[in-house]
Amino acid sequence: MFTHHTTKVIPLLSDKPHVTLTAYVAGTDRTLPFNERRRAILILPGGGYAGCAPIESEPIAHHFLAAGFNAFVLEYTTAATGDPLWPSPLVDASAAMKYIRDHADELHVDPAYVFAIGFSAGGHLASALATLWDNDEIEALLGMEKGYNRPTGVILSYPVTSLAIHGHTRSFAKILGSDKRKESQDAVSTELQVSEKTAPAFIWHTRTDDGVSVRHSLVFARALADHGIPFEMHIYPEGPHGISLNNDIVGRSYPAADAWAHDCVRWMKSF
Amino acid sequence: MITDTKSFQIPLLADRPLAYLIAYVAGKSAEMPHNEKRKAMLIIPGGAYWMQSDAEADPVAHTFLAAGYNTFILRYSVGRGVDSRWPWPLVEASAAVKYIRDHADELCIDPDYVFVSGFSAGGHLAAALGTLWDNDEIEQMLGMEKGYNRPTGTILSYPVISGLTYAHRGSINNILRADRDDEEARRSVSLELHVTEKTAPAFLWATRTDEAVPVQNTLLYAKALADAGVPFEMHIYPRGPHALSIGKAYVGCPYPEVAAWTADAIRWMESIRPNATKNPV
Repeated sequence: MFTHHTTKVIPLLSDKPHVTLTAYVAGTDRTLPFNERRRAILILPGGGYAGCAPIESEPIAHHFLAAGFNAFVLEYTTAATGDPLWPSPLVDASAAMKYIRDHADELHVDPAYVFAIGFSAGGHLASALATLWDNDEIEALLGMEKGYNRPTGVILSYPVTSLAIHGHTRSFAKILGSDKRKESQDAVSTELQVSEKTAPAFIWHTRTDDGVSVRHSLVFARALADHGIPFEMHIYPEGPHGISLNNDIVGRSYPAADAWAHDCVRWMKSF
Repeated sequence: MITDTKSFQIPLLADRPLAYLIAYVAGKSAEMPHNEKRKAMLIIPGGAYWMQSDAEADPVAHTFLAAGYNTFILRYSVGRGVDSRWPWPLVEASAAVKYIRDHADELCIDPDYVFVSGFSAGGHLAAALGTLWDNDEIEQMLGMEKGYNRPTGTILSYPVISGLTYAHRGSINNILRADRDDEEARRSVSLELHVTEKTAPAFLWATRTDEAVPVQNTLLYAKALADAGVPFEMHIYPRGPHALSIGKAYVGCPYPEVAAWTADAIRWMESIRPNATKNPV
């Protein structure tokens, strides 16, 4: 008798059928006690807040499944029609964290260890989960106690963080819509939102990223350092935007930039 | 006939006897043509510009010697009663780079490939070579053409960079002495303020939990490099105290992930090309 991992697509919010969690749960068997209770990772693909990129979805889930995590890919609200998108993606990501923790037994997950990884605009969303999880409105909306959506740690892959840095105004134009007020912009610039409550982070970026400037990662790390938040960071010397796992499967190969995928596993296992 | 590595001590400046090089030059053999002309690495140990570490000298030299470089440890003028005021350390480091290039044939190195690796305060000095190499007084003093002391690349390990908010006060005080509280003097040695497009490419690393030199030093230099478009690679490891050297257990490092930096630096150096001329535009 074979034991297979199960894949299940789960709608998260009754009024938003497009927001789904795809769960990859390793099969259990008495000879594989490790799989009874794994650590979890929530995957937030990139796509400029216009969509969720496949290159940062399933391949990432497979990588972490193989590394011993149960993996959950979130398709979050994207492509606003001119109205502000924010905070819908943060609500969606919080709902995903809540679902994983609520169903920890069924998903064979330890609710104390739920990490989040985001790529590009998904990296902005992950950095928002890390810095802005403490939100009364979201708690009321989802019927959730404070802290329940806080990730154990976040992995930020070539993330957008700051509105102050030129280098991805398209993402921010989508999430804020017609709202051009400075306080709205600052509120979603996550390097300004780091506090002592911020979750630890593993950050990586390529120096020559032509889509999202490496400075997004550098200013976020500086804020973490100033607040004493634990982090690890790697800036690889060469590579364009969107290299994901930087391997054959995703069709990318730039110097050293596949190390992150193994280093972040070591980092997560050290918690 | 057995060909061995040669090691010897080289004085650098007639009137400054504490400044010298320890050179390790791999033995030549018909079996190993690589050794006819290796790339060079100048190593600057740390010690807050007050003393000099041993763990950041030989272990580093051996690591990069084994990786195919000829290595040169800079011993420089620091300590009680010694005049270590800026810019003397930069003069001595420049004299070291000049010596290596002047004697390229004898040292079996390619003068287009002289990397400088510095640790802690030695990292400040290496980064100073990377940013402040263009100095008319030093060129005149050493009788050297412009650019001759510019490193091909710098490798900065948990470097002291800044004399401002995140300064390692001891290091900065030891090079500024009476001027230690002068704002302009501190800015003059705050290397994050001096990065330009002519700054040498850099490989830099530190630990987040460095209790001596705040990790912001490394982040500030990287941000300046990013702003100026200078090639760099950077690794911040999540745990570990100051002064981990090559990151191996025998130099006292208990965190195995740190040791990855030396292989990464070797791979990085392979990708770095020198400027077309010895006088970079």
